[in-house]
Amino acid sequence: MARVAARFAAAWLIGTLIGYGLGAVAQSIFVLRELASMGAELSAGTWFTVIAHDLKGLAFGGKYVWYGANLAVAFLIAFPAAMAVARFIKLPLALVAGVAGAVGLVAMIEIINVNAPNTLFAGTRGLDGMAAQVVAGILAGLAFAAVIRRTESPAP
Amino acid sequence: MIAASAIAGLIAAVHVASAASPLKVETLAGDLKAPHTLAMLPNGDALIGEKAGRILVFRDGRLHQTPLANAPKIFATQLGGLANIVVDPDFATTSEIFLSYAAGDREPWPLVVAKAKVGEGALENLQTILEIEPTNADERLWAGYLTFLGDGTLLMSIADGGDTRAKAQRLDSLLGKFIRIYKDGKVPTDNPFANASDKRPEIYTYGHRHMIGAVYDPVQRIIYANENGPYGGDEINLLKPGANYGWPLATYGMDYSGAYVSPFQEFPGTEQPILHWTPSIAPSGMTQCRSCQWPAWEGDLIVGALSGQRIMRVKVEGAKVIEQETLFADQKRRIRDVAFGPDGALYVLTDHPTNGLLLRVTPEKTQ
Repeated sequence: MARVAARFAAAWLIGTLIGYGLGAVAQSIFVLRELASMGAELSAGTWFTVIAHDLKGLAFGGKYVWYGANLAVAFLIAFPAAMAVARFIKLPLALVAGVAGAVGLVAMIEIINVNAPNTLFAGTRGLDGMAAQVVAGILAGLAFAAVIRRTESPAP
Repeated sequence: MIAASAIAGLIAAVHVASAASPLKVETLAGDLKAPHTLAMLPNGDALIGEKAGRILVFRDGRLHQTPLANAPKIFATQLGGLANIVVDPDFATTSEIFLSYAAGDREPWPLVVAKAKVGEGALENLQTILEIEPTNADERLWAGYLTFLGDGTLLMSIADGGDTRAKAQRLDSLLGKFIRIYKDGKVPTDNPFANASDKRPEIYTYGHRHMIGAVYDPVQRIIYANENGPYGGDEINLLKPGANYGWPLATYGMDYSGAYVSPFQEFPGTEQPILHWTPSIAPSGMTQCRSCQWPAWEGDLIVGALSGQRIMRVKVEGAKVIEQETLFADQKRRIRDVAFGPDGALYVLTDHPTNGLLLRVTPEKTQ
């Protein structure tokens, strides 16, 4: 039992880190892209500084809500649900977890937005920005499934 | 008349500690439902506009519970509602006030400027002078703060709309702008972009976020406007026609998410604020002391603060901030609007969904 829990925790942690990293970087890229469209000249150093700053800021620096912490909670619901669904309908875990990762990430953003006067994560305001979050969620789910699979006990 | 009857109508009086400016605070009225705007008439009456559209009159020491009849239909939503009421500088002859509000019955709503005569218990001859329609479903037209300039034209703020913040930099959009119109809604031909076919002729300044306070200083003949930053970066700007105030290219604030809005605090071709506050105080209504009851405050800006729960007194000279004083911090109330009455007292509207207050503030007499 402890082994199963540890395996799940490791997979969840890796999935969350990948989802957070990709989602946060995508968020920053879309914000910077909008600034560039307004005439801002952005050096490579600026891109790096902003992305590094936002990776920290989105994890711990928000006023109302932390992207990172909320994503961890969202995946804590989405990934076990994916395992149960995959087992129940006998579909590959990678497929179900990928969908669950995307749904979990997008649901997290939309639930946060319900009570906000506008879209809280600026880089997700456009369809393309949200599509990038979907991709981050899918990759997080795939990573989760891969870790689960790699750490599964070999068949006797 | 408030001045004559404030003592009689006194509900409570407290003394607010402030090292430099001890204040006497009298509560004139309570139970106001999300009061948004306070307009002092030359005869000393006060008009209080609530977000949902009720306009109440404080007269002869009491708040008349029956709102003015014939008020416009307001669309009250999270951000929209009755935004502002200002008094015509020619009120003595016109008896008119100007109102800005969210109209319609669904999002996105049009932002309307209307004028009406203040009659006995009712608004009369309500006329829409300007109706700004959202150009697409994403646009949220809010702010709507009105200020008369020295030439009789009317300045109005339009916020950036939040999700559409990039439009603050686009001159074909009215989002994130101060616009300038005549009292009949027409556009002055000397507006900075009046003759550019690809730009909105109403625009006076651009690159703003959310502005709910502005003052025309008749002595210096300049305009001061405050601006709510996001997470930090609240500002006071000195408005110059045609100037770009930078949002969202340059800001001292961060996004509420903890991410950058922009890595730039200054940006070529944009104006710097004369003052910025980080952390945010959420500046709200703003007024200026001219012949008020505090001779030492002559010319000072008085700025309410919502989340900051205080009033800031800012001594300014052109673009130079000489000193700031925090007032009212021990009251722990969100300040929605401030105005000097004809008696020179400071009238303050506090923000609360069901128990907003109208306060009268005068200097504490020291022995």
